[in-house]
Amino acid sequence: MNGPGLWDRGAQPERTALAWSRTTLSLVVAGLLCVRLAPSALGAATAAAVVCGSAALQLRRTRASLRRRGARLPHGRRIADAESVLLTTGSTMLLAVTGILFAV
Amino acid sequence: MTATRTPDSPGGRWTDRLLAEGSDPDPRFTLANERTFLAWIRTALALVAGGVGVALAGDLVDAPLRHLLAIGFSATGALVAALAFRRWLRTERALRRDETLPPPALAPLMSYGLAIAAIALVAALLIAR
Repeated sequence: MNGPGLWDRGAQPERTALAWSRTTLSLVVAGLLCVRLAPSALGAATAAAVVCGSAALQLRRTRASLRRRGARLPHGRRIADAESVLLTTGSTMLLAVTGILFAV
Repeated sequence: MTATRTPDSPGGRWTDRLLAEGSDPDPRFTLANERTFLAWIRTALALVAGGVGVALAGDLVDAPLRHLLAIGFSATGALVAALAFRRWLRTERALRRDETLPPPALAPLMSYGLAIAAIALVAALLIAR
């Protein structure tokens, strides 16, 4: 890998974790707008539950990922996390479809 | 950085399946790729929020056009999210195989798409006047 001291191993994972937090915040904002658009109380409750659930899941995974990367980076082990990426893509597309369904 | 498969694989089954080939790249590149993906996801979420915002702006734009714009924005959000995942995967694979990175298909789509959307929105506002 690199010589010791070439780059700090803590900052990059932390910056990535912050990017995850910002994305979660965007999910909450877009989700709340979707909740506001819902045509019925039941629809609003379902949308709110889905948004809160995905946000909680993302926050949890972000924390776990930051901790795991801090432990793995010094040993040069793999840090890619395809599952979080897949989950985030899925929840974003789900929210977009919900928005389309509510807007029709 | 040469070990491809460590016994205690961190990402789980999907990471193993999607990133089976090649060897681990510089971790900075993996992290930067993930941040780029997240930036695209935020763009997608902003598009969805924009679509919902248009759908809620009942007194600004008239009905059929409003629905059309709202659905267009949200559908583009879904498309951008899907393409962002594809791009993340292709970039990560290219990094693992030490190949050239995939061309940026999303950026021109976004700039032209946003220009068209902005013109449509302005036209809609003018028609509603």
